[in-house]
Amino acid sequence: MEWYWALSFLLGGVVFLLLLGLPVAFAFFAANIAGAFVFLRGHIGLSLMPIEYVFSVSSYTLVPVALFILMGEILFQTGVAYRSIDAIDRLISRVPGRLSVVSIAGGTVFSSLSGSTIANTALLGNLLLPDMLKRGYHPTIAMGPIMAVGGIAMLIPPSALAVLLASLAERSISELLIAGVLPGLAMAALFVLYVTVRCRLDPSLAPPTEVRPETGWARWGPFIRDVLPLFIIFAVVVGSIFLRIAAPEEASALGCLAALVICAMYRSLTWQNLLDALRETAKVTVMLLFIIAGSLTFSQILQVSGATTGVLQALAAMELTQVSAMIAMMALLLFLGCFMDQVSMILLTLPFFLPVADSLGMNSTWLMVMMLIAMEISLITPPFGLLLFVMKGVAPKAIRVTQIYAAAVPFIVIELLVMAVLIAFPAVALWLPGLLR
Amino acid sequence: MELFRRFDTVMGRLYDGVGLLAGVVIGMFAVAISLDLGLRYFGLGNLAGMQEIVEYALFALVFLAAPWVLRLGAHVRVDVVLSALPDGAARRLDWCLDLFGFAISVVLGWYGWVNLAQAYRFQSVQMKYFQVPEWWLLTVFVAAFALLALEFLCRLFRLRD
Repeated sequence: MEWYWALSFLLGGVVFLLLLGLPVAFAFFAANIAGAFVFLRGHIGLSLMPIEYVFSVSSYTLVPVALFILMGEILFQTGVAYRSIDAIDRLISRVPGRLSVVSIAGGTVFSSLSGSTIANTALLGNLLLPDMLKRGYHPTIAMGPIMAVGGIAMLIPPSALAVLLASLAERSISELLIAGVLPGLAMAALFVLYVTVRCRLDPSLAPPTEVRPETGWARWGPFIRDVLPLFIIFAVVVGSIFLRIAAPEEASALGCLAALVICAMYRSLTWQNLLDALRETAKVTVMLLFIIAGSLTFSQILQVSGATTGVLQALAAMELTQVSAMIAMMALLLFLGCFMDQVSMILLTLPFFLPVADSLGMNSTWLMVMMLIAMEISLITPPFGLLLFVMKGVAPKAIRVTQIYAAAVPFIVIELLVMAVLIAFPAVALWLPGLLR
Repeated sequence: MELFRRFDTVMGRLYDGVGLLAGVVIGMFAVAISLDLGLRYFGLGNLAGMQEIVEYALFALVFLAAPWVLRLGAHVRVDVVLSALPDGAARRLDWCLDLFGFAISVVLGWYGWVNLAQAYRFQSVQMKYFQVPEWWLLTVFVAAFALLALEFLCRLFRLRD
């Protein structure tokens, strides 16, 4: 079979089943069964496949995926996360669009504590959105920052998706985790700049809110008590990797213990919320890694079918440069992101992107940071961005989907801007990992 | 139908237990990995074979808890078509997808059994720190897909109910 027919058969089959609504993992399993029949001599290939599924998830490098999720869940289920948002709220005053800025600052802090974008958006949406709307904030300036900052959790360590990406690519997890820090912070800073400039130019978007007339300890105390200690968790995770004390697997385990100790010190830890955190962690971890089980075998079948080699030869014939190849790959991801979830996007594109990057001498950490940004954008890209639906779920019933779409657009533009800067200046992402070496 | 409902309730409780157990195992990963690092850092040795136990436990928890996640409806799916269809048509499509999921689980479960029989016959072993017979691992695989097939059947019944 010609490589393009093999590619259409396998990739087309998965996309068709995904769009029909079959759970992602089962869409891959179905394509694997069909692929084994056609390309692996049917019965023989199928009877050898199960042990490959076993090996796909018996991997130590996948452990941080579970443990970074657990870290965030411990902070959410114990309520420690909610208290720190309140402390940040007290600290920020006399800024145009104050509550939107609070949501960006709070979201960025939680990006450094939790690996989950959905949890970030749900937390800020539940906590701040009703208050902002009640105080007369325009829905665009109220919802946009919450959705946008939710995605930053993907870039700033600890990030479960970054671990997954580097682990599947068999590249340095530590480098990718560290490389996401500067682009993530730059993005948060640009979000704040956009909100304050927009609200200064048009104050009706965010009527000035009543600021608690607090000074001194009353203002700074809650921040020092409820937020600063949380940075110990970030310091434990990133510091132990940076100082080469721990590998990412060990850093994630230390992060969980640090989160437990801090929640216990706040007297917020109970058996019930610990069990809830463990149960939620198991749910998300199983969902993610079950997809990985299906997809790793899928990429092996893609290779056996000749599709991977065919695509690579076709791309080689186009004589792409590093920059043009990067732009093409990002355009494809942004297109897929309109209707596909992040894990499926990684799994479908990585088998093609990595060999292309290697053949062009492209830095794979740079490629993976760019992939994370593209996936972050896809989270808020209409019509099917995941965080748009999370926001719809937490927003008051009166808010229309079109308003949520409109709120996301300026932030998509900012994220595309950051992406363009990173294409032009890869050093923004690669400088910190360079220090690690 | 009453019999099915009773069976479904029992399975629900079983799955809830499996889900919690999976969470507890993940929590134990954090403790064991930290302990191993601490021991090595202070030159007190290490937890020999811990990494391998974690790897196999990760595989077992992912596969055995997958039916629980299916029951919760928490396996990611793209509902572009489903949400665009009228209620009746969406339910029929959902029923067909569950039937398809059942068929996939049966096929994988069956070939898992074939692979298990081969591994048992040839006494295939994974040799790292421990010597783990492959048929042990494949037993987990077969059990997981048998439970997944059963859960898809339950979903079909629930939709009809």
